[in-house]
Amino acid sequence: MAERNDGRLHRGPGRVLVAIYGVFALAATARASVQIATKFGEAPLAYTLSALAAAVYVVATVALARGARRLALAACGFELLGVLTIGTLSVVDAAAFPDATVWSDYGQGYGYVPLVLPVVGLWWLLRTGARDERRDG
Amino acid sequence: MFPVSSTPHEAGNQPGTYSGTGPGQELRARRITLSAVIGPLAVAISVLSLALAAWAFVEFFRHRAPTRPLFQGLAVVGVLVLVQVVALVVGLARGGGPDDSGLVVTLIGYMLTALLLPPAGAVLARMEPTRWGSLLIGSAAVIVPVLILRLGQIWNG
Repeated sequence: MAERNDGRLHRGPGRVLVAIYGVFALAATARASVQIATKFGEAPLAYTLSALAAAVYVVATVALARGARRLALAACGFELLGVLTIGTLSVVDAAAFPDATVWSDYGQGYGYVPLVLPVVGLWWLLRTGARDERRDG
Repeated sequence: MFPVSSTPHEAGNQPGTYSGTGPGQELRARRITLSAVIGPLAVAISVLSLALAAWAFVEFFRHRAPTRPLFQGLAVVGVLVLVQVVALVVGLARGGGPDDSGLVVTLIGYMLTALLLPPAGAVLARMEPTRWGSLLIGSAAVIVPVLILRLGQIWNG
């Protein structure tokens, strides 16, 4: 299936997802920018990850808003992987993460939204995808 | 409505509240600063916004599209946020707020986000005249108090 604009993706629940992804894209980008601009040397690993997380949020927001299903799937999948990996690492090896990223402690600093968001995103993508196959409408 | 003074020296009348280094004294000094620039109005915004969010979520669960009063509620929250941001800008201009320049940049970022959020939520909800529009207003109204809380934390360093 080629990348195409899927109108259903950004309507209804999709619009709420886009809005919340947008807020996180903004928050993560701003946070990473300040961290890297002012104190990159303190925790290069954490701040690089912050920037990576921010980039993925931006990609997910744009992909969901524009109905790019495959790209959105990849971004949401990467996010889930990221929050689980970094979440686990930050709990197991706290010394490696002296300053928090959005994904530290499974996104606890953000009310666990970073953990819930990719799950909801994947659910929405798969749900609209399944409907796509069964009946076009 | 509330005194806008930017330093704890102006606001505090107990001697030694600011110069103290113990955790209790530091907390008291912080609370005085808090009430000066980001205080009663911040609390009012948070309470109002959460009430609006609860209402919007009820509408969402009742499968109802956002009604006019919901939009009006979000507009009121937006105007109050604007007043709060102006108070913070005045406070900054008077030399208040965090000393760290990185924190000042963060503070400004949060101020812009808080200003943008209610109108952005309203525009998106307008585009979505279904129950999901109500959820959009509810989401925006839940995030506003979080931003206000962070503004208060950053303001106090």
